[in-house]
Amino acid sequence: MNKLFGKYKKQEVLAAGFFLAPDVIGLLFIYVIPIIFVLYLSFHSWTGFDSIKFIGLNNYLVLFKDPLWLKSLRVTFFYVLLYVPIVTLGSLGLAVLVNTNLPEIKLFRTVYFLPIVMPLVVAAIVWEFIYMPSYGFLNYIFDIFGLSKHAFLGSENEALISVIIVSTWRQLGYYMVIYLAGLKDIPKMYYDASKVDGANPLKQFIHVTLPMLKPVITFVVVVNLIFALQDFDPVYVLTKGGPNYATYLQTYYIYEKGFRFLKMGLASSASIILLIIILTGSLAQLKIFRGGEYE
Amino acid sequence: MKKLSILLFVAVFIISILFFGVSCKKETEDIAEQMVEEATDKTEEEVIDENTEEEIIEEVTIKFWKYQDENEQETLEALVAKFNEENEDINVVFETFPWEQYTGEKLITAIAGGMGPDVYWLSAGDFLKFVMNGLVLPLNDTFTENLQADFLEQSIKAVTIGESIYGVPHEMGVQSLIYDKKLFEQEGLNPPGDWDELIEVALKLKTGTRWGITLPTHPDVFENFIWYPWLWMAGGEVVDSSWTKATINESGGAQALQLWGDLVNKYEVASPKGGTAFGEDIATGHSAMAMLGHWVVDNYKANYPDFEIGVAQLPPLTKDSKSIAAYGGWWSVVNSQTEHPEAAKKFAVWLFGQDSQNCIDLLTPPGTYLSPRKSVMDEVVNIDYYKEWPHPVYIEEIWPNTRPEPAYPAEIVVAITEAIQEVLFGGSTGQEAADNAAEKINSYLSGPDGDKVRGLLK
Repeated sequence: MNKLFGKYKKQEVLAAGFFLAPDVIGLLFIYVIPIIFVLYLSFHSWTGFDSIKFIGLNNYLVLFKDPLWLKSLRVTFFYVLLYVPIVTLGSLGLAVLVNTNLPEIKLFRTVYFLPIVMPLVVAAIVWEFIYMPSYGFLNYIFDIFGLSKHAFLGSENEALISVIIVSTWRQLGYYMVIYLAGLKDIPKMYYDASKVDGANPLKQFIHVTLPMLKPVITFVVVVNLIFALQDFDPVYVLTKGGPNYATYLQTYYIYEKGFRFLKMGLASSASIILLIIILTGSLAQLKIFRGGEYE
Repeated sequence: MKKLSILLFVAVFIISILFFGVSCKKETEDIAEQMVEEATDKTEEEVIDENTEEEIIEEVTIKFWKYQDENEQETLEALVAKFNEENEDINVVFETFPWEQYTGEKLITAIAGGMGPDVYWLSAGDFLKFVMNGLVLPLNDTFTENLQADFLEQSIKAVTIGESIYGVPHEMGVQSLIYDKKLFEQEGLNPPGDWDELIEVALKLKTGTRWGITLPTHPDVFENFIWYPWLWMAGGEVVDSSWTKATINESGGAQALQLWGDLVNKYEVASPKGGTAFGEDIATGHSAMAMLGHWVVDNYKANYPDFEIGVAQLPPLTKDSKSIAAYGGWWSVVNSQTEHPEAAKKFAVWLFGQDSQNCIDLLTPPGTYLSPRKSVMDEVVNIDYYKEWPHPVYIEEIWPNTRPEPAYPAEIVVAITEAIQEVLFGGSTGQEAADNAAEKINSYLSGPDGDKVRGLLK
């Protein structure tokens, strides 16, 4: 402790503690204690109303044998696999686009950001109309071009990608703003120097923009991965995990086990495994993308 | 300088807290002093009178929860106000929550956290789960047999487990076939008279932008609720009467599942993405028929006044067999954790179990439900509103052939939902899906939970 705070004066440490205390206490009650309780519950059987009974690893064994949990794991894996690259690259593309000096670009920035502030329930109504089999907007467009009609949210094969499109549409604008801040932070002299060296805009993007944005990209990828693994709302609003479990994410499995079946222990063990997956994924990504900050 | 400003800030913060504390303390002391003075001014007689009065009117506060529904809000607020006025010793606080929240996690988390309501509304889909977990208080002593006598036998049976009655039913959402009346007239068609005709009519009315019929396709309890009558009309049941084995995989279950699968996949007359529970797709011309019910009538009247609603009984399996519809609804129940069981029971029973006028107030003007009370239905048929089309069809033709929505434990409910999803989307035949459901149900019934259910139902 002395080593840690040695370079600060006692009053400074006290003041820092004073200012940090509300957040630390908040985090302790909102995150740390519930996580510890969930870990404790994962070794117990509890409906939420009866007494908590210790059952050892039984919840985990049930989970590993449950074909629905395994299916949900597969669905979540595909969800993350598609969602993270689309949002990471899509929002980067948008940020580069709105970072130009095109006329009315501020309007576009606002338009791209709008989905994140729109309530999901409202957005879901619009998207349900767009996806409607037979007479929805997309099928109308397909029809004009002579393409066959699709069921989208009503198809086991198309529902997951349809939900991913809604999720990414909502998040693109948010990460665009983060990338935009990163882009604005890159000193202009690098671009000037590369221009003198004869670099075209594509080369500038590859050799200047991308390396300079590496810390921001790391942040976006990690946050996106965490978000994708925790995503719940679009599935809840659009498909309820269907059709035939095609959009049954881990979070939906946890929700159903907890609130529909009142198996809080089982839901907790699934939550712990999800937590481990998120931690492992995030740490792996941090390790892969580590470094690269420019001086 | 930095140090000084931090110290200054901390000092100002502490001083302001102390100042606030002192002023509060002073205020409290002043109030206390004033009260002491007032008390000493009073005569002994006055003090005794006050104490006696306090003993008599010791008000208890109870919470009453339900989902949000603007049609019922005003009536319920008025009824709660009336109860509070009539009962000086009870103060009912009425709260509503968004539908998804209320039927999802709200009730469960609130009750588990000891912050639940004293009285709340519950439906058949969750009934067994709540009773099995001891979350509902029996009402036998308050909801007496005299009061029960005014209710339909099947409605009382639906809220009774063993010897205990757990809820006061107050509304019946009766299912029916809803169709576009103008379209049927234009095409010279009559509502289908059996399952074969249902397919035939749906095929005739399907176009590139209009489905022949709409089924609920979301994997939830509403889908089950709409499917049950098709099972019954085919002569099937989910489990046997002793709750020892699944019977869903007998011919009735497989046939009913096959019909739904065929409507979507073989004939492609039903949308794989069902419309809303309020049938907007029919009113907007995107579907010709839907398996819905009485509850859509008010929605059409309010939002699609030009749309002519067609209502018919659900088509039976064959012309010789009988049409059966299910009716859903909500029940007022009392939380077993309530600190004021007598007050809560009194309110729950008073609300729709005693004065029939309360039920009539609830049914009019929305007019989207019928009542499980005989005296109320006797009155309702005389109200002009209920004489208007299509209410008489529900009252005279459909209602006599209804069964209440059955209550099953969550595991059985999900097994049924999975079977429906399998035929709609998984490419299974009706028999395969029914066999899978039966396996899951039998596994549940043969375990300790099965014993628990049988024990309760004895």
